[in-house]
Amino acid sequence: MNKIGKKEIFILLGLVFLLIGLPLMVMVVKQSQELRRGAAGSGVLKLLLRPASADKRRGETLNVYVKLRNISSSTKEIRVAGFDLTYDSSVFQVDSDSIVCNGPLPVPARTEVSSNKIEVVCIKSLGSATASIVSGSGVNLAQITFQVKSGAALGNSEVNFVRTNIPDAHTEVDLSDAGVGGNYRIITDSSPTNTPRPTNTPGGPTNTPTRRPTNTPRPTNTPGPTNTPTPDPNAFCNDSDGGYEIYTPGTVTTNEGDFSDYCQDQDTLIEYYCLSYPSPHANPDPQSCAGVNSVCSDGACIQPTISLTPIPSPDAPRLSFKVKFDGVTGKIGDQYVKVLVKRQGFTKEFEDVLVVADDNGVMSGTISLVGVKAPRRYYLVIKGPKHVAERFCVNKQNGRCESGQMLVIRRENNFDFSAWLLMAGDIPDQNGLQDGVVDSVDFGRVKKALVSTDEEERARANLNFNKTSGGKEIVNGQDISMFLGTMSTRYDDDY
Amino acid sequence: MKIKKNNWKPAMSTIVITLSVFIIAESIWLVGKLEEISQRATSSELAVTPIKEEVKIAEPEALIKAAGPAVVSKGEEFILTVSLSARKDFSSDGMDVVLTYDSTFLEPVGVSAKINPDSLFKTAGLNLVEEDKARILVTILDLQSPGGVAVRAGDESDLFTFGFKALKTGKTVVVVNNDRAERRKTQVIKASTSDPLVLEKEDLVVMIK
Repeated sequence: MNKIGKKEIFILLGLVFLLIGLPLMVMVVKQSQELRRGAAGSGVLKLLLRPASADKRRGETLNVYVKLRNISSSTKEIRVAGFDLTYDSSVFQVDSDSIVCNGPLPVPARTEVSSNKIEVVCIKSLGSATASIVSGSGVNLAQITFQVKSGAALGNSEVNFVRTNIPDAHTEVDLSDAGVGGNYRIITDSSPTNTPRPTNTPGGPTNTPTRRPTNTPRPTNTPGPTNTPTPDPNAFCNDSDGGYEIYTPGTVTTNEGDFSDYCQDQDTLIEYYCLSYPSPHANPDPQSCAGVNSVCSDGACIQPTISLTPIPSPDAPRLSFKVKFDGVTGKIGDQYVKVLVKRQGFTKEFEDVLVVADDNGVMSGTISLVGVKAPRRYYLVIKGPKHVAERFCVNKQNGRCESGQMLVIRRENNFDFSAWLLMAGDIPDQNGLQDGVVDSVDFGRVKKALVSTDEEERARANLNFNKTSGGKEIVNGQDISMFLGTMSTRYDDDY
Repeated sequence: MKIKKNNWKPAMSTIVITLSVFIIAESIWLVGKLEEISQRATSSELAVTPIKEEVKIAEPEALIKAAGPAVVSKGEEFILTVSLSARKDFSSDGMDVVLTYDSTFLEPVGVSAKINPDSLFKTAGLNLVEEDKARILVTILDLQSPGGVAVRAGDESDLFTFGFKALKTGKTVVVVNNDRAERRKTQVIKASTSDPLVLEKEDLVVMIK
């Protein structure tokens, strides 16, 4: 008979450890997966930060929009949306007053900033009203201003979602995904800032897709009655363009292979980005480049350098048009207008369309109507930078258009709308956003600009664009008079 | 504890097999339990409840009230008065009022509101009835004071009046529409920032006999 040796005792202790330790490990792993899943919800409403990447210097501000996109096949009704973001407080400073709910849920019910966390809840209203998020649409949910600290370290700094919650207004099931954050680079004061939208110049960034999947896009996370997605512990996902970034070609690298952003056609970009639920994977998302006044090229939406040269697009009809701003009788600086091409059941929006004034104040612009089929009848809606949108349905229109459409042909379309003035009064806010009506808020902006020394504020409220010989903006009684004139005649966007 | 050397290996095998069975059974039980928790979390209260608790309602800074007779006869004309009562101190450059009504019960008398000459704001920027949308839009502004009209908590002001004719019997409501999600809404703006005040509203409920 021999006593049990040390070796045997160690084996026994190891087995006892396994008995207790293995289940504990399983529990810890499952709980961490559960936390991620609980944050994500059903995933049909995607939360994104735009821009997803940017270069900023110390002291500069970074305006980040929280976007909401409905990727389901049906309209979703919501009353409230909440999300928490984490950021590096040694790099960014965030003031809770800078957080704005500015989309379909415009009332900020909670905007709190702690040391490195931002908590936001936006609601529709204090009542029971709901907001409809149409299938396939993307809307702004909120805007947050980050101030880069003067002592911020150079390099990349991430802003990420840590909690999202957008309950369905009727079932209260969380519809949100886990959110896709942003990665922002703090650069030296002397280094040039990267332009977020690459210009369409020869020799620009090109991208050779390493793998272009031919199968249908991977289904998104719609909850099914039977299959519960199983997380893959070995999965990983990295996006070279930092996330949902349509202006930069990128490649998503996963354990299943590489997926490069590519152009399905000259309008549609298939943008790949990483989703983390149930496991990290590449998710394809079709994005209309025409919607951001761009064309799709080499895996990115490319906006041409600002010029009157139309976007080269042999198939798209071209629109050359003239408009005139109320109160402008001479040459003014280049301006940007929004053009909507509309017919029943169809709307194509072209933002930031450059218009250039002649010596009589007539503004001319040209756009390639990518995504607009021709020949067909449409009407146009044109909205100036501080103007009420006007509907145009006939060439040389000289009165209000109640109904009717005009023919848009395949090649050149020349329309002169300068006889029916764009009326000023929908004053943009400090972020350049207009709300589509002329009301007391706009009046307050004009009145405030009367005594303001802030040139930008005065420029926004300078309705007739007049300046002193020294180039200073003039805001005076004429602007008040123009404002009151607009309010009494054309006080809402005419769609 | 003493175990014979030649009995050690079978005893060890029995222990290992028993412990392995325990470990596997325990793991299966834990995975099942966590799946159950996971499904509860994704489907209901864990994800939803916190936000509901976080919603805070801001304190109103002013009350916009639509007042008038509670009972009128069919065919009778009556006057509705819109007033502002300040709950806090503020300065304002103007305000918008949007009233909506049921056109099957009420017919507007006239094409615009009558602005009270003693109102806080004396200049009408917009003053019309949109009969097709059954709404009345009034924007009144201050053109006099550079810093806006100073209003003290407790101040009250009748802003304007508007006439209606009762068309048929029943109960109807003239609504002060201050839904902030609407593009055009009732709002009072602060002079310094052009931001809207937090408003409380009171609609007019009319019984037509």
